Amino acid sequence: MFQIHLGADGEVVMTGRLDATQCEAALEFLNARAAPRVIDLAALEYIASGGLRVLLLTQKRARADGRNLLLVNVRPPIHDILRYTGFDRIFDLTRAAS
Amino acid sequence: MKVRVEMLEVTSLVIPEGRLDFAAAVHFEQRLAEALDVAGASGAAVIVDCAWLEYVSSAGLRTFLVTARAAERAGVMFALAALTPAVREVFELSGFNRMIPLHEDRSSALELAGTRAGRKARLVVANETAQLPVLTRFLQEFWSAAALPAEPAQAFELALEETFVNIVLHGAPAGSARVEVSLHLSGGELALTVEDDGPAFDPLSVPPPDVTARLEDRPVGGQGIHLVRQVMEEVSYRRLGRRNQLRMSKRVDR
Repeated sequence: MFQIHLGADGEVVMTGRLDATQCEAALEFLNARAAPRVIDLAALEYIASGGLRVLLLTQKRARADGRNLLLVNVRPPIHDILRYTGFDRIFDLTRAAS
Repeated sequence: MKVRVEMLEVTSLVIPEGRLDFAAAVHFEQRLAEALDVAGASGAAVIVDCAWLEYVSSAGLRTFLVTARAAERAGVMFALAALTPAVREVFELSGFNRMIPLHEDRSSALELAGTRAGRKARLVVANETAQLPVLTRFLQEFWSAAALPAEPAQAFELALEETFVNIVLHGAPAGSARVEVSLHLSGGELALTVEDDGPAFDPLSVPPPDVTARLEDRPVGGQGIHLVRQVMEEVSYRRLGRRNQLRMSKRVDR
């Protein structure tokens, strides 16, 4: 089960499993507003390449606005996936306390 | 009568040759009991391959029934396979075929034993993205049935998703082809095999993405198979007749 919503400080919060069946809904949510400054991934359990694509498109949009997307509370399994693809170099991120 | 016993991965295979008559029955029953003891300790199955069994007397029949009951008490799968027509007739006339499972051949009995032991599973779905949750559930159910450690599960979920999504996006038109997924646990290694009957395509032939590229130079796709290679220990592709087969494996016993 995947959910995406806005947190108290205007950050985007993603929870659950961002698999290929959820990417369209996630993109729709993100594209309906200005690119966020922060995405909180503390409760994101799973991501695959479709989800990486969502993050990449959002980062490109943020850059077009002269900003940089910050991923916060990235958990180890998600961080592994970002690292394997080199995405840890194109996002600013903070890792979850383990 | 001669009796051979072979230990396979999840099965004790008992192979009697010759005539199972009154004189042979005591010895044979003992061999079956030993096989059952071994199998019971390791959660395996006992299968009797009857291809070389020429004759079964009523005393011989009784040994099968005694073993079937003991197997039931011990929670062990017990089955016979590859009966000759003459021997099968004895089972049918006595009604024992309703009490003891009889398989056409050894391989179908072994296959069932593997499935029962949580070592093998197989699923066929249509090539459409909506089937992805079905595949994920299939993998998760296998994981709990085989009591595997949680940590490597994500690697397999990812490999399955990437492979399946690739087939849906780049293979035959959605909904027109079948994708067969199988899992096989053997000696601490889990193999995930995905087969589809779409046009020939070797995903391993795609050059890996440049993971050091700047954002501006990044294409928005092409990460899937690269991720599969990262999270699996071995990945190989074969074209089997009219099907693509991708096999991915990794140790799961740590």
